[in-house]
Amino acid sequence: MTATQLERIQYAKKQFIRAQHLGPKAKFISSIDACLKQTHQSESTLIENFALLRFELEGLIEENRKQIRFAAVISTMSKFEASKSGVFEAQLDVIAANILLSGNEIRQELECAEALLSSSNMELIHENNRTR
Amino acid sequence: MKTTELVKNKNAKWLVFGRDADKPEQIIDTNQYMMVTNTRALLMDPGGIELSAPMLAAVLRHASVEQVTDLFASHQDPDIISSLGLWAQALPDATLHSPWLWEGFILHFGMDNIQYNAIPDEGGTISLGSFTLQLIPAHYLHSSGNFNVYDPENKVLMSGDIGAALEGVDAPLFVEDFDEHIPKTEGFHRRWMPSNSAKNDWVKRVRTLDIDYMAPQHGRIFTGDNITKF
Repeated sequence: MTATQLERIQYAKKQFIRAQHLGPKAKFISSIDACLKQTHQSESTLIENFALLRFELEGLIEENRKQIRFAAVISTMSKFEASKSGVFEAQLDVIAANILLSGNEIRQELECAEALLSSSNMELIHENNRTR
Repeated sequence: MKTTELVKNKNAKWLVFGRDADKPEQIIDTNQYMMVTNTRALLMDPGGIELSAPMLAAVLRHASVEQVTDLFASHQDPDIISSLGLWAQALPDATLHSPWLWEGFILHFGMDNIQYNAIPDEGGTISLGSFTLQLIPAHYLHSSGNFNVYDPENKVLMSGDIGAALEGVDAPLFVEDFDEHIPKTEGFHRRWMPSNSAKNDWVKRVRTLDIDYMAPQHGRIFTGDNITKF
């Protein structure tokens, strides 16, 4: 939602500036001054909100990474326990392998999410530099 | 973006914006209309997102953003109303009049700060100061929820896609030779409006109106005898 609002505000800001260039002598051109000021303010607020949400998301991703590392440790311990458990060894080996597999799959998804976050952040920085 | 005054008297004027030579080549040319009274303005079929800045600049030559209190979208198409997101940021206190059928769809264009007046199927009116404009049903021509705007005082019918023709930006604004012009309108009126019963319904409805200008959203404006012929 914040990203959508930010996209709309930045688009409107661009169009207001373009309208000022297209109609500098228009009788009522100054009536969009307040709109432009408002879009600047809204944009700043939304960029701050977006940065905060992104920071929180990165924190959640890091938390997930930790959980995956724990899962890998549990998997290794399970394998070790399995070797001593006689008749249950085969079942415990399967559980350990599944934990490891799921952990790896989740890690891949997280890496994709991080790559997306990193590229969207770069786009945002470029966009701000362009419109300032 | 060219601006032409269609009607002007001491209380109101009708403007048509279009024939934009600077628009991206691939998008079709559109006519946008605005009725300006002494205190308020109504923007009709304000156009697509690609035209939003030139349209805003053109509008501001005749009215301030505070004065534009009403928007009208005949139907939901992007060339009609995809610029809504910009108007929502620009107009401090405006109402969009549009078919009830398209409310949930049109909201996708973004309309914070704008009120939606859902027009019922049977039509309605827009009060613009001392003027009362009629919303004439034109369903299935071509959209299944679709209206024209009729100004009885100035005798203008903004007919949306009815009477429309796809032409270049250098085309004249008014129909001069009716027989020569009609083939240009066939694309709209055969492929996009295949229902004769919808067309006959509309003809029956508008035949009773006193019209000096029939102003479509694309192509040339019909005047005088050409309206009756159409």
